[in-house]
Amino acid sequence: MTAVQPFADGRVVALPPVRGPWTRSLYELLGCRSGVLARVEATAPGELALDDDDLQMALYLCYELHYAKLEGVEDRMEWSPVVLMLRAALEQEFAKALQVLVADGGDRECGAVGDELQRLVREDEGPPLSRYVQTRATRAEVLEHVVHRSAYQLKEADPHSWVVPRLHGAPKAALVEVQADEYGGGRPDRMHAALFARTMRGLGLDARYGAYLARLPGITLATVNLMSWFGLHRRLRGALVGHLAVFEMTSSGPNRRYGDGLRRLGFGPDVTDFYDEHVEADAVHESIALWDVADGLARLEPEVADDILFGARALLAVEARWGSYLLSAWSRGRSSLLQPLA
Amino acid sequence: MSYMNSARSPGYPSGVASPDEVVIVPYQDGPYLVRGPVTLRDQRGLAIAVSRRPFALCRCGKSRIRPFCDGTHQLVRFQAPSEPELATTSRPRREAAPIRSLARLEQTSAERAVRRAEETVMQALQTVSSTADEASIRSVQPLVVSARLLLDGRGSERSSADGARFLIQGALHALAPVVSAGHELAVRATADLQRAAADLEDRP
Repeated sequence: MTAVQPFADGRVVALPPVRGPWTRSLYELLGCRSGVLARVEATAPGELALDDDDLQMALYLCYELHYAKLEGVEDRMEWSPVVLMLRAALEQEFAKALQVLVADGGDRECGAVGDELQRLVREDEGPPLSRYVQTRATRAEVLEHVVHRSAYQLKEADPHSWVVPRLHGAPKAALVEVQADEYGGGRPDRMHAALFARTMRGLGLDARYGAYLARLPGITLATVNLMSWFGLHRRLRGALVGHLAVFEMTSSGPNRRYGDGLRRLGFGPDVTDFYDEHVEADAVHESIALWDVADGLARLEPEVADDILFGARALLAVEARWGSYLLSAWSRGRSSLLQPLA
Repeated sequence: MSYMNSARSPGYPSGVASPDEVVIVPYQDGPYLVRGPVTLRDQRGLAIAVSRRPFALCRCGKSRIRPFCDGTHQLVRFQAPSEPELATTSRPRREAAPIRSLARLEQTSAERAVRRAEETVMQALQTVSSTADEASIRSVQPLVVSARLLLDGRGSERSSADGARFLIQGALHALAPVVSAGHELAVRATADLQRAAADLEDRP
């Protein structure tokens, strides 16, 4: 019997160093004098806003105001109109970049949204990240992978919870069924975020929320910003639901391989539990999220069907970009983090 | 609030009428989802632990945590409707046979050899099936069909590949007299089957 981890010790995020004009403006608006904050060498703006370390960090922190306490920032800044205006500008850049990246769904046949989502996943040829972790990744690379994912997995399921009050009827009941399991089915120690924290501790990593934020590149933060952006806008509820469905549909296989990779490197159940749990859990969530939530929402609100498919395509595109980035950094023998782990 | 009523319609399977009702939903191309108070036992009567509710039972047969689903149905491109199939209706495939896409997913050269063999066996099967008049050629059809079934979706499992090779040898033996009589279709099928057998032989 494992003791319940004191996971509710509050999320307090230390502001990472200024990265460029976006983070500097944000810190000024938040009332933190950015002059006193450390400044990293300004990273070149990415080809797309999706790779822009500064822009994605500013957007991530705008969203973090809704998830966590930012150190040295007043809580009421969460609803500061000027901060929200900056966030709107950041979101506009993010949306523009996604439109470039995400293929237009003009070829959509008139099939059910569930069928279309299945087709998207079948035809997706993402980078072989999980196969690489399963068979070849070094211990250092596996640690980096976990550090990247901590940007989401220490608050796993939270972004998708924003949509609960915006759904109605059967899709809402189905979503809550998935979320209840994500949150441990009434057992705080089985919360997926808590299982991930255990994995991090088992690997000797710092499991405190936000501990590695300063090391994360924009391309990683973009994968989380995508969910928060969809989640915090009612008009994007379809996109969030499409994101959730494909997230669950593409989870069981990769998580089995991540677990295998950790076992290959000699790690035990305390580390692999998170991944093993997801193999079976997401095999259940997949059908519910695909048919009862996403397809069900499209039948109740046909006007959001295209948004559902957009959310699905955006997830696949952003995840593929992130996975390719990791593999390419590792293949050149480089760290995929802005500052390598010690 | 019309949607409240639809929650229990056949279109919304998560609707369970009462807490003591057991509902099993076969999802399209996916597992059976089981909701409600039900006990799972093996054939000796021992309870199988169920760690979550609802839970998913494997429907494609390829899960590594049977009887539970582990999402492998995606990898093997399992296809099945949610509604009942009727024995008399032909099975509409929503897209072309997934052999090539499967080949892309498989990794090892042994698996690639099996895939190649499977495709060649398919060709031979088409050749063999296309003759209506030659009973001697059609007689090998069951052997070739069985070889193909053994290879289909089985990856590099050694026993399946060996079984398929055995069946192919049988088909070649049966075709030999027709080949020496110079029957063109038999010659073509024989060539394909010999290639398939070689592929299976060559597995590292």
